[in-house]
Amino acid sequence: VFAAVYFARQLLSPTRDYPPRTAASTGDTTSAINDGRADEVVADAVPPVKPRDTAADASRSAVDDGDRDAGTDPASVQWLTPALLVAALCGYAYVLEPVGFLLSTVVFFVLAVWILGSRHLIRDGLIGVVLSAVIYFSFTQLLAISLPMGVLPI
Amino acid sequence: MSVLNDLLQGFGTVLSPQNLLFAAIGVTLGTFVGVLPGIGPALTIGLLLPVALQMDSPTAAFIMFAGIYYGAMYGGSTTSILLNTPGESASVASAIEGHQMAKRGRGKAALATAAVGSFVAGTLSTLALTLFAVPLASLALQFQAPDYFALALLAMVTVTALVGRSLIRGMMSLALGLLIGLIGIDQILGQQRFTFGMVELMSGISVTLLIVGLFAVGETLHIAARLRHLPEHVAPLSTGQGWMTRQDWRRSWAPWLRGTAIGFPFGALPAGGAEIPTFLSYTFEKFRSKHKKQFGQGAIEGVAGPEAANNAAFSGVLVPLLTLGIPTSATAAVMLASLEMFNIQSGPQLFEQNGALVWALIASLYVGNVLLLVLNLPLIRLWVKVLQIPRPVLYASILVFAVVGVWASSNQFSLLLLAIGIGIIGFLMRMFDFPIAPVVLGAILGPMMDTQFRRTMALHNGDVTAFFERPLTITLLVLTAVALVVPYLPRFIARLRGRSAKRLAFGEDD
Repeated sequence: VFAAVYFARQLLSPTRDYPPRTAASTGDTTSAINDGRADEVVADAVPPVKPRDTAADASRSAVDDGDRDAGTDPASVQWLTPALLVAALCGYAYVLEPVGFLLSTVVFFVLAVWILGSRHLIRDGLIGVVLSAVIYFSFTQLLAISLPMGVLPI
Repeated sequence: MSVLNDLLQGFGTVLSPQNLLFAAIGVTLGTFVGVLPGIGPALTIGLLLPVALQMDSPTAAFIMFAGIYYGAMYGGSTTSILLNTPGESASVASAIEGHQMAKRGRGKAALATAAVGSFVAGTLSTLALTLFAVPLASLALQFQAPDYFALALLAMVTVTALVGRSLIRGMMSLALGLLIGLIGIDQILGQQRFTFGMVELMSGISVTLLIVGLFAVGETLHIAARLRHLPEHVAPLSTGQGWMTRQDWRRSWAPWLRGTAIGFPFGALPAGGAEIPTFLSYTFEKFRSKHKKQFGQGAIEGVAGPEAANNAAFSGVLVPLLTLGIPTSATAAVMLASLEMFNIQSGPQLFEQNGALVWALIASLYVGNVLLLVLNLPLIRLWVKVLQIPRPVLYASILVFAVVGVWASSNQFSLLLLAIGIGIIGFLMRMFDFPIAPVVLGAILGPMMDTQFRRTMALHNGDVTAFFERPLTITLLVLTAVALVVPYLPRFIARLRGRSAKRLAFGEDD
């Protein structure tokens, strides 16, 4: 219902919720993300655009940058990084039980750090080993919460 | 003098070595997560829930949680002042003047006025909480099912309407939260709702999972999407600069007191935590100040007032949480959920049935404030170091902790996937400027509202006019309607005058 009301309002007067942006950002393409609720349009003030399938031009996605998020420049949102992170997370979740917490955490950590832009493999590997060891032993020994042991016989 | 007695007993509990240790852990951890941009107290408490359940006494767990909440308020100011990236939304206002002060070499004075102001406000508002809690709780004993329904509605609507920039977006977030809250076995008839026959969903989506998904996974993905655009520059703290000068003290004390006076009642009203009072305090100080020209260039009043309001609001938030069982911010919602996990009945009976716990919690606030003052100013260099942790390492660790947190509370692969899924939703909501707090509130208050509504219906044979019979219920419902209109007032007035104005809006709670 809310979605419908919102969509109707967008069609009637697209500028109501969003004051016109500054000159710097008015040239941006507007797009909607199609995540099953196509009417949640993040509409640009000018011109009013109808929702369309934009999986292809997601890179040009416009994000309504709020006052508090001065760093969100619409043109510069990188969709690849979060997508890779999600993939890594799913993989991590999948191997966690069969492979075990210690090994999979080290691998995931190094992978995630790399995706997030760090290139110090040795330093990150060391941090990963220490982090997973500290979490594993403090959880299993001190807190009596079980974490999957997996292939390592510890 | 029973209040004094109870309070002294509370102090007795808190000052035992074990509880003092947990208070210290709580405030340190809280300051740590407050300093780190992107993770807030709600997430920390959510992640600690499975750990806390292993502890033998819920009292220790709650002392720790309160410490985390308070510590995050202190820590957030450090980040705002030195980095101009508010660690949590309630410090947005102090970032405006504080960062300007830091840039002009007055960083230490800004940090000092924030810390001392937080201490003053924290102590005074805890005093107010001590005095008001018991009378309010006894008043709350008269609440009946329809009143609870109206109160829950009021809390949801005010948070939704006043937080974030668009009412419709807030309502959509709230609807999502209500939907998530309804998943699982219905509390009155035992029917399964929205489980699609899946065993994993029968007990509903747990708070830990929701919080971890929305805040840890969602926030990390959000940061990953704009990693290259985050400010990295930390304003330097030179050794030469002093703390506060005599003039700073003279200009700070009145804003501290005014900030407290604004913060506490706003926190106590079901109106969405600390954002509104901090901005109100900022605007008020700007209006009152003799140094108007300095505003925007580092006026100390602009740090002192909002920081005091920020901390005072926290004690305020505890008033409805402890007396009525109504959370008014995401963090309070998580604390309420943790009460339920310990099988402690929240609501007006809390003071009678678990008086020892509540008074220990209140006493721990006094102690926590002192600890934080001691912890913050001398150790400021340590917290600056925390700010210099490389972002990739930080956020990868948060993801690891998120996975551990969900695993520890469920031991199930499918629930990990669910958390990631919720994280993706949270990420998209952030990207498209949907507020997150209404989701959490909807998910936690929703089931309670549902139960109270149906209880009312059952008592009155399905007659909806039951909600319009008692003056208390009507008052609450009218307030709800007012809360829906208030954000549009400035624009409406501006339109009458033929001018355009922005909608009244505040930062988002984390």
